[in-house]
Amino acid sequence: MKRIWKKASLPALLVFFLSVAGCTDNEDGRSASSEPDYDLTQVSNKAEVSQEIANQAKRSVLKNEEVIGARGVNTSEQILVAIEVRQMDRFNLKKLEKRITSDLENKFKEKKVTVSTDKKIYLELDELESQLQTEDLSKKKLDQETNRIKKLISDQA
Amino acid sequence: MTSNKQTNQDYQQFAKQRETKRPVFKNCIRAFLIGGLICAFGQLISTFYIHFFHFTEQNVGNPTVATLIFITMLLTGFGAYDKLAQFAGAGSAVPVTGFGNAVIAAAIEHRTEGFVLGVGGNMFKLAGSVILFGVFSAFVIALIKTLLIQWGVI
Repeated sequence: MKRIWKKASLPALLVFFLSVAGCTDNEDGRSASSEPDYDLTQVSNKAEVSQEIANQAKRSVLKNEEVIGARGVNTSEQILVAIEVRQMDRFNLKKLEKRITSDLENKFKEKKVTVSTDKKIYLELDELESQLQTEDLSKKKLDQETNRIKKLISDQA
Repeated sequence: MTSNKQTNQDYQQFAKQRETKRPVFKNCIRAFLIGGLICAFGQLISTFYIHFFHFTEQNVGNPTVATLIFITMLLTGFGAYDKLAQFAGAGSAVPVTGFGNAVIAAAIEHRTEGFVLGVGGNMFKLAGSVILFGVFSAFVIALIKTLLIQWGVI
């Protein structure tokens, strides 16, 4: 038993450190806030569909103290926002999600609002934001991608 | 009859005196630590699946459980899991790995009796009761929840 642990410990440590070392900040020019308390990105307005509404939504969502990070995009019809919730407030995840959704719905009445607390949605939206910032994403492509991510939320498979 | 009872009680007392004290507190600590480590490892696997495959937090549970049971299968086969279980006790039995171990160990043990009567018949010797009581308690809980929703409590 002891021998097994000794043999296994070195590769295990290596895997651990490699998995930790992957964390880097986004360096694609999305202006991040200077506040250390939360994680906000602002996509500049050069994208074909202006992301000003998504930026506004993110800022207003981050005013809740339970929310420590937000990513989101908007198309011409809908807003899709993913939030990261403070650890101890994850006990009320469903309630918080509902409250934030209705808040945003009141604020942006003309658009369909979807809020998710899922890590996967957060990661996907982060990537989409970075694409919006760096590439010329066409309106159609943005719609497609947004719908694809939205489908993930209700994916049961 | 009375004397028989008397000796029985005497014996119980005698046995209690001679019995080595179980280190309950130490066992609890060990179970807590190892069980927590297994769960942390499971969390690592699900985070890995979320980042690199198309799984959301909703449905990452299935592949994570499958992976954990697969790893348990290997550990059981190589004889490492029973050493871990000896050290950790309930810590290695309560997570899903304990269930996997119960199934796989029985399957390995009865392999010599053939596939049908040996492996097939004995595989769920212990796990069968887990399934039975699991399904039954799920049924009861679902019944309670349905009633509570009907009455509008939750």
